[in-house]
Amino acid sequence: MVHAMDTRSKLVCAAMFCVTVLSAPLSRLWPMALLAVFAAVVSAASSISLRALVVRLGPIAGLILLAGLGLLFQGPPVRFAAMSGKALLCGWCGALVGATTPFSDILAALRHMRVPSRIVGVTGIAYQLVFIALEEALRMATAYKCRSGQVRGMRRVRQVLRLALALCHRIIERTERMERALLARAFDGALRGLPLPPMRRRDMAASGLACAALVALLWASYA
Amino acid sequence: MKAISATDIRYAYPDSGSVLNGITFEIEAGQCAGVVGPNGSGKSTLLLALSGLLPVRGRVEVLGRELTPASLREMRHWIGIVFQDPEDQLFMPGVLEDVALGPLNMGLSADDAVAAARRALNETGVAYTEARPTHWLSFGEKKRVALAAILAMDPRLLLLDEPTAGLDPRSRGEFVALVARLGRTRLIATHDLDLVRVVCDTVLVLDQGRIVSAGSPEVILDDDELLLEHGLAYRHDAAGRPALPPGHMSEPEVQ
Amino acid sequence: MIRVPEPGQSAARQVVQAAGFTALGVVVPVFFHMVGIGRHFLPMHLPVLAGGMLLRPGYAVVVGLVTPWLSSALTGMPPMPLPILMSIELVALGGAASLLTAARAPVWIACPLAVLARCAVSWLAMALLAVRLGLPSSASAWLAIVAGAPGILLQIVAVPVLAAALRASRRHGGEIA
Repeated sequence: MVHAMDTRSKLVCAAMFCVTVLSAPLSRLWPMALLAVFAAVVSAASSISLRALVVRLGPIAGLILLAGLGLLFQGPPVRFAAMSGKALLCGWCGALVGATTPFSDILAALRHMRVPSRIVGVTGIAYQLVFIALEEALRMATAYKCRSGQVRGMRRVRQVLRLALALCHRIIERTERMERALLARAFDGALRGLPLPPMRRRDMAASGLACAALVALLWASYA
Repeated sequence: MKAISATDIRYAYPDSGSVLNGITFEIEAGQCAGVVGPNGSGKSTLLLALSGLLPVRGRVEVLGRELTPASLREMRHWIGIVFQDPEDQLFMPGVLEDVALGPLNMGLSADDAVAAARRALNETGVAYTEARPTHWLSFGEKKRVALAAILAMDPRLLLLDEPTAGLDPRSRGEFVALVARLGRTRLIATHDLDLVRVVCDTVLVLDQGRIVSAGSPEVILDDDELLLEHGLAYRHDAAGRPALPPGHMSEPEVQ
Repeated sequence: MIRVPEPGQSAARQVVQAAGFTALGVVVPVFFHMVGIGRHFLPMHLPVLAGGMLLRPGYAVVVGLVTPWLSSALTGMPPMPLPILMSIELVALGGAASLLTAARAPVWIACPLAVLARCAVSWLAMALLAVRLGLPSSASAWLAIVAGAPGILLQIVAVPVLAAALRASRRHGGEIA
């Protein structure tokens, strides 16, 4: 059901969900619990297995908890728990959108929602380059590990920084070739894409209902 | 009418010196010409010059019209160039969207652009990849999609830079058959002499930025001395193995 | 009057280079973690700052805005709500670097000034938004800056070298030898 939903509706609902999560008061647990239930219901409707979502979120969850550790030393433990919970819920929302929506549809939706074409264009090409750059970085990291031996400390830092600079140089050189390829496709400054089909009434209604429910929850949590 | 007429083309990169040193040639409409030569001879640079992507000295005419900064905008979609690395020319997350980019930039409506994209994907035999993300494609599929992206613009002149580089033997054979069927004026820069023999009507041999020989594939590719002199073949030793160049250190003795 | 860096750069170059620096902003932190160097070197800031040295202000700002969100969407880092704060400070970093470069400031001056601007905006954003987002008080704003000191040093030393190398290697137009 979530797969078939219009991408614009999904993005609006996801944004509203994240705003609600981040705005929910830290001192009350019931809004967070309700939001977690909301996320679980939507996940169940998405036909994405729980295991697949957990696998996607697993590596991030560890990093979120690590990143939030500083909060443990700067305030009450409930703040750490609440902030980690918020980050996990937002991560869950992002994972669900990513699992049910092709990235090209996300770009088309952003274009349709009047996000500046410069932002959409840069994001689209950057998405392609991330995979290319990751492969290049992996090759460089593997080659470095084979040759770095027992190098430690500042020497290692210097070598890694030089590798990072080389990676940057290679990617930017690639963008010069991409520039020529873009000009060869009659590029005139605007990165055009295919439009999405018109929004269905049921998608508009579903996203309207979801947003209304989230606003009501937020209002009630502060009441 | 000549498809391409190049007169005294010269170009030098700021940091690596002169690359094209006075190139003059003509290609007839409908012909397929191969450009061969050693690494660094200027093959790729020549293709960039003919597509208007480099500001060269000299005169380039495409389909009877001179290529100038003023005429380039109109002539851009006459000339299709496919680069060696397909990842340099796949911009959009989805295949159909990427192939439709050129037609959309030319001013076609979304429906017409999609139709053109689907025709091109069919022509290159990768219509089944239409709904896939571009980063999920194999190297061979990326090559074909990159070609489709240019064919969707319906160019009259096709410039191909090392079209078979990096392909396995089967994919290479299929790609050669595809290039042979394209049926428009083609200029192919390549090290693949078998491709030239099968597909091309005429061959230009480039070395150090100059055309050192030109003629039919049968004449050029059977001239062993010419190929040896310009880095397109290698000598064999008495045992039939590729010989080391003069002055190279000899093989160490096995202990 | 401010002039854009290297007048005559095409929109195509700006778009793909901006995309390149954005992609590097996602990948360089991953690379740092792959080879065992921590986040105190602020790896996401390096490509954004380098991009600011080479791009027009409009595109440099886009790089700063998009990088943390794309990174969060693809890798989960930074986790919410940090992309909100990071996009503000990276917009300041990239935008300041580009404006200073457009005003013909040498890279060795533009870089530290851009980093200073970023620190100031970061402190202000933390002070104003931290409570709203449920983060600790503004005292942590200073902590965040101090914790990133190795990265600040790295930016001031390494990015000008990278920017100068990229400018020198760029091929724009040729001449008869």
